[in-house]
Amino acid sequence: MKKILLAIFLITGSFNGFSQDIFGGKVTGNFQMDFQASKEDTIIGAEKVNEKALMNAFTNILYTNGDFSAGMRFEAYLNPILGFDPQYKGAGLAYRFASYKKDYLEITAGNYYEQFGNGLIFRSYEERNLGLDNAMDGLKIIARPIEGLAIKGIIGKQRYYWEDIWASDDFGLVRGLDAEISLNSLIKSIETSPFQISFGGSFVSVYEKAEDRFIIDQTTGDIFKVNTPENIASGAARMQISYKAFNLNAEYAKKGQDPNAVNGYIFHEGEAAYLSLGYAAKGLGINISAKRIDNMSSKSRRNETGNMLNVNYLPALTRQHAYSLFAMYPYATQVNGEMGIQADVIYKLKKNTFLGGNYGTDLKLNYSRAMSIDQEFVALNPALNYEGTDGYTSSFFKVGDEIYFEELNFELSKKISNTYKLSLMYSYQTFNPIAIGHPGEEFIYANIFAADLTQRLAKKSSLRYELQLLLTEQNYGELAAGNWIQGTIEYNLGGKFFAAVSDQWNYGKENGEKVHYYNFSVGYTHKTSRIQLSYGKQREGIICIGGVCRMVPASNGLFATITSSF
Amino acid sequence: MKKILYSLILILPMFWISCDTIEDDQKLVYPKGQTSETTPITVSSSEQKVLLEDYTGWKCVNCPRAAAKATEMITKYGEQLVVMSVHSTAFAIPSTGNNNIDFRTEYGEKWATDFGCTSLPTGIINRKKLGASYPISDADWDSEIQNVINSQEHIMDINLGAEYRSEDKQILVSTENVFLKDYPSSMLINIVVLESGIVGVQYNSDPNFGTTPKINDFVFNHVLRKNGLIDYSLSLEGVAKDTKINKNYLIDVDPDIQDISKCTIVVFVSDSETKEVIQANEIHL
Repeated sequence: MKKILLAIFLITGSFNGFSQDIFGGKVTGNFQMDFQASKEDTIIGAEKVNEKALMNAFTNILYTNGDFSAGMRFEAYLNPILGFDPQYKGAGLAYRFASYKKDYLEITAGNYYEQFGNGLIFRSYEERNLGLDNAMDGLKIIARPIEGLAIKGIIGKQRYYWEDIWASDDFGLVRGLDAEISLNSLIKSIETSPFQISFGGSFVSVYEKAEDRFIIDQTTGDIFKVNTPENIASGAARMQISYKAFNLNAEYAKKGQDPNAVNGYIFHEGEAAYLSLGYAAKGLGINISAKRIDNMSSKSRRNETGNMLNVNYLPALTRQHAYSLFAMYPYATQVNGEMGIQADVIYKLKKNTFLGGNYGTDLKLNYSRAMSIDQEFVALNPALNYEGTDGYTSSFFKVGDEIYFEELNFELSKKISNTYKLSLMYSYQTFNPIAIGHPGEEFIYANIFAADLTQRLAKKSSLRYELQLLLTEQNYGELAAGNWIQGTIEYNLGGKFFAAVSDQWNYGKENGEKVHYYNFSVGYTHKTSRIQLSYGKQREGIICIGGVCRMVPASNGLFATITSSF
Repeated sequence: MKKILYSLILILPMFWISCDTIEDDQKLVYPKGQTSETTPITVSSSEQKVLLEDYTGWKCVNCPRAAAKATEMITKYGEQLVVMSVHSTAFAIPSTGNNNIDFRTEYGEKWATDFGCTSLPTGIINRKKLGASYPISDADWDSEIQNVINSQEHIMDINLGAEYRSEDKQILVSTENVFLKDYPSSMLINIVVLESGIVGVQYNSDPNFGTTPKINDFVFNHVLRKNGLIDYSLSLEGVAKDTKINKNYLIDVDPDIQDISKCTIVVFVSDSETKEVIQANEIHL
């Protein structure tokens, strides 16, 4: 068995023995391949895959020599695995760049990722699990003329699958500038002060050629033209303060007129505010965050919807869950308007106390709530809707009437003995399906439980038993109908080998078959390479990372992942 | 200090990159000029016509040559050709040298930029790209007009009626757009006023076309005037064969027009996406 696995790594992990020194520099890289073979399953809604087998793969190669670096990423989607946009189909160099540092400047030509502040007006990033890649292609300059001052300048266009973005005016040009000053680095006399403060400001402008956009008055047959601005500007100011165990992060952003497909081509100006207050001391951590988003979708193509060509990033203030039933109703950031709060408390009960026991106990409490914003709509033209108007006005501090999402969850992690470690988790979720684009459907109210017990065995091996239960009286379409239960048993050998079996059972489904979504998986890690195989059924669902979501269609079959790095 | 100054150079370009603000009255452009009033159709057409846009200016020394070429083309092609003189670019900026006569229009300037007609004289024919660009030298107008006549598919006809209302200083234009074939895309319609017989100053370098270095009594014909109705939508989607779209427009007469009796209404329909002219027609007032 070991020889077979080694043979696989001769193919997949052959970079391990690769010489890493070339021309005095260093070459590093990584590789990942996801392979999927799914068969038709009408009961769970898995569609027939004509290609029989699907594959996503990429490899990054990075060369570094002192202050110079250059790299590339080759990607292949042959054809894209289920849930990824078919426009990814193909293979080629998706990312390439060269960068050097000289004096106080750092210059990057080609592709790059970058973020200004919290990303409210600019964030270029990749989230492979979402099929999201809005890498910039252009130039980036970072200047650090004096200690404590950093100025970033960016210009370029964003990746759009395999399209030649430079051949078409359909893809907007993104220009931006960001400056950040750390007062403690700038002023030597307060450098070591416990009171640390920094300020930042950023400006982004997207140029896209104006288009002739017409709408028809269904009553009179008259045709109207919406004049679209060509330069859409956003600006933001931010501040970070920390004092001993306390810290504060605040940012406010404003966006000019930007009628686009996401906001229904209204001229209402955008606004976003983000505030985070934290306290971190030994055994206790508290974080309270709040945000307000009002018409802040910013894309480098006004007619684009979906996840591509996002110029900015609007974080979701909800807990990112790892347990699958807890993530059944994920929250998607409402870029057209929402107000949200989140509070996190982490507390460690000391060991050798009545409540903490012999090993101590970790407690986590999380509460989050996302609401609509207050909106006073302008007079509606029944034939034209709100298109071409300001749409609405909104009071900054006034919360809207509609709840999008609310969750209260509690987690207890405790080492019981040298052999057992237990985690218990409970969550109560209120989920408005409008948040993922299903208006008019009934609210979901769910009680979700999880128990996770790890049993340490001999020879660095362990067994993990996981049980999850989701109780709800509502049926949410085919995605989440009624009650669910999930059980998992996983064997782990020293972090190198694992085997797991799990079953997710929709036992509360009222109409149709109460489906078992079983899954068998096995994985092996050899040095920096890893292979994982799983076979089973995957329910249709939605995954959200940071409030950005992707539909995952149902599948039934084999899934394999190979990763390697050098 | 020097480092900071250099860094500020990074910031400076951003001052030029501002945010466009669309004023309230410009956000949704109502179909100004569109009306339910009608005037009888008096000009019908049943052939594919060609629109020649002659980009010109009074300071352009070779433009009399191009104007003569346009006249020659009208003689040769007759009613099959519609000529429109678009006075634009720096060559058309008025001064005391031409008695401050301004033939420029906002849309003429935009077209000159959009279609790359910045070196004058030049022309575009049915807004078709010739290779990678639109402009065609006056020496090639004849062959290209012939080429368009021979190759362009006859999709539709535009029938016209027009009536000048002297009290209101308005022109009522009725259009009847008759589709002879299916057309798959959305279309725009433009209604403009041209004036001929305007006498003024024109620079000239070629004695074959008048006195040099300027002609004081040059006759400007087919001059594109202000207040045209530009890029109005004719159809938001494709149109089926045998469809007839009637649209009526009221144009405010450009106060600079010297003699309304020497004016012509030109109507042309173009593809929303490619901007190519599908059909054109004209009617004299």
